[in-house]
Amino acid sequence: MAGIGTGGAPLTSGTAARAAVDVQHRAFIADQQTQQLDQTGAVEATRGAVRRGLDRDRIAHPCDGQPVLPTQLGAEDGARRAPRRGLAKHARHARHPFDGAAGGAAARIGEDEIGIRPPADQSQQGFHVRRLDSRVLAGKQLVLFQLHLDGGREAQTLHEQLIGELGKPILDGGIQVLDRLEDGERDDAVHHGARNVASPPLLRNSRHLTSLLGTAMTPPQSPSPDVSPPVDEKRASFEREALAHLDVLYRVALRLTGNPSDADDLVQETMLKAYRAWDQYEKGTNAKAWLLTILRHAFINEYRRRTRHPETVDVDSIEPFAVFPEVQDEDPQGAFFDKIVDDQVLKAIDQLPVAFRETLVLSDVEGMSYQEIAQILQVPVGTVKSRLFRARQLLQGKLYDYAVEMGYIKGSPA
Amino acid sequence: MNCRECVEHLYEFLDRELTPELEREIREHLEDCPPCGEQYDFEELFLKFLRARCRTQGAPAELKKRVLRELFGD
Repeated sequence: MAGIGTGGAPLTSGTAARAAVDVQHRAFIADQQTQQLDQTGAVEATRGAVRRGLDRDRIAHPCDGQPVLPTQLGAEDGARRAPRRGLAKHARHARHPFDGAAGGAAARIGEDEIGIRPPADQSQQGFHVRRLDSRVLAGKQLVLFQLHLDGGREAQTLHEQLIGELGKPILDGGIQVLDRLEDGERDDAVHHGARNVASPPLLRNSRHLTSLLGTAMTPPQSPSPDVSPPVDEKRASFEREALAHLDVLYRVALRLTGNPSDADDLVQETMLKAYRAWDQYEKGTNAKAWLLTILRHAFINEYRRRTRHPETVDVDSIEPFAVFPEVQDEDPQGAFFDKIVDDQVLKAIDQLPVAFRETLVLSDVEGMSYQEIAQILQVPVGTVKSRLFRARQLLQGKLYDYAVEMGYIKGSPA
Repeated sequence: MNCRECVEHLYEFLDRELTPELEREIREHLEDCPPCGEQYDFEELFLKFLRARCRTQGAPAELKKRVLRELFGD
């Protein structure tokens, strides 16, 4: 596991050396932890434990003792921040041990961590939240603790917590709670920005959140109807426009991954990402293409992560093999196709190079236009056209060979 | 429009991705050229066959439940 909360080089500022105190943000599953923590003793015990943990690393700070009010989101004091591994400014470009062999692949956030993505215009505002509880799951509410010492206050658990969920935005979409990082985002990129989520003014729009302020461990209340419409609306539009395409996503995922279990995971991940980014989707436009783009990105990330050399075949140099001239005399109607069962067709598709496979599936199975496919695959329309041509010919060739082998058609000797 | 050009654009014709002008030229050629017409029928049948064979699968019911559970805690 990454050394979140353990790294950080001392930073000298003015006359006083200052500790690069790493902040530990802690996440609990609210609905499981709060009941226990609601009891005064438990709260105190937890606070004590947290303090002990923090005190171990703590070195005196010049600002100790001075109250530091939470500032607005993004208004962090860069000069006073401790660089993580000395890379605060360039963290996004830093290579992290977690990167492993997979070069530019996405870094998966470990099982006992979650990440938080800041607003796009505040690239240095990310930070990690360490999980204390292995039961942190998507769909479960988390209390995101900010137990920072920055600015000299004691670990402030009570006034600086947020409720979040994996895969969902918090603070009116200002910050996203992540279960993994996107392609190109390094583990190092999510470093500490202590005041991100501490500001009461930011909480003003959420009764759900403010209800927790000052009462610390009060269990999150069930959303009452008068505050929930935005969530309900989001859910309703997501179900209507996105979940409606689950079959398409699954079929494409199945052809890309080659097995039901990976396809399930890919669709699941796609849906989480899509829901997280749902605000960015322009409602009523092409949800299918939008979702397939996300799915394909997720697939590529995973695929790159698993293999150093994804595909060495230069698909665009594969010469097509025309089947029609071969069967023109014997079976110009292509009756032999009808004898080939589903599984054999799918198997033949799965043998195509992935660039052909994805093009063919999007076009011939899902009925998407060249333009849509070009958008999803991020290639020119001409490339779609030529890949589709070759993919169809290649597939026909495979099915023809199979039909000859099975005696469905005599065929001409190879 | 000759046979080579026609065959070259056959898939785009089937996919309705041609300009109206080119589409008309292909249609005229297909009407006048039985071998190209046969190939058109063959390719059309192949695409229908492909779609029919590959669209029988849908997402498992369990997957939908899993997605709803993860997203909304259902």
